Amino acid sequence: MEIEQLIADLETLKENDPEKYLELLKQLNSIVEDLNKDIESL
Amino acid sequence: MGLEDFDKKSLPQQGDAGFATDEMISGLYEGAEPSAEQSSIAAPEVAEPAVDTQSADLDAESAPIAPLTPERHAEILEAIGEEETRLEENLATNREVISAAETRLDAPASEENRLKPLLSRAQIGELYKKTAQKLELVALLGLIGTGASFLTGQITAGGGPMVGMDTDALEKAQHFVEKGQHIAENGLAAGIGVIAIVAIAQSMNWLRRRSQEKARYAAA
Repeated sequence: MEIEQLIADLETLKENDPEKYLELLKQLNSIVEDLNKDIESL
Repeated sequence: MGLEDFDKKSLPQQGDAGFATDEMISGLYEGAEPSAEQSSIAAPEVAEPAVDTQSADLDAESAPIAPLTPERHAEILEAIGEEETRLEENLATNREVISAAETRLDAPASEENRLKPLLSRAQIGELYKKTAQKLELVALLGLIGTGASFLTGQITAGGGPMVGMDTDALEKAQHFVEKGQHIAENGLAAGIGVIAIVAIAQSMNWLRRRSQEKARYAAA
């Protein structure tokens, strides 16, 4: 997958299905927060 | 499977088509540091990587979406703004915690103390699994895995090509990482989700690299 395509898909998703885009953002936040906790615990 | 199908109840399970197996995941962490020559060697007899561009296609336009009421739409847009802000803050924290951990782990101390608290390979394997389940973008995770691996050039297992990788996949991974870094460095507005994905890949790569230090120390 080209990264430009990924960006375009995310923008399309945000525009056409904001609820799904919101869910994706929540998932990304959850992952990054978990990683931050794991790294901080080192 | 596209994002329109996103449903936590249908998260991929071990054995599902396209789901990264334990062998694939563990293969990401195994192997010694390759030489530059090794890094450029094509995999002669490896399976195609588990990258299904059809599955990775977010396909946001294909499914009919029930129209939202103006009130609900406004609520969602507000929530999106909050989540994007939260993501920016989390990504800033991500850079800070990695920097702090680097400083802490590299501080003068006994080797044993410095390496003792690092995550085990199995723990990082669990991180990959957890990430896959949360995103439910298994094909995209494949790119994250190869991209993260490419960052340190650790693409071989036991001196041979890593299972599930070939030159084409590595070229794509390199392109993915380079573009992602460009977007992150330039703060392009449209790329917050991609920046997050790249940051996730880099964080996991950092954890993996540190765990390999631990493994080398333990073996010494």
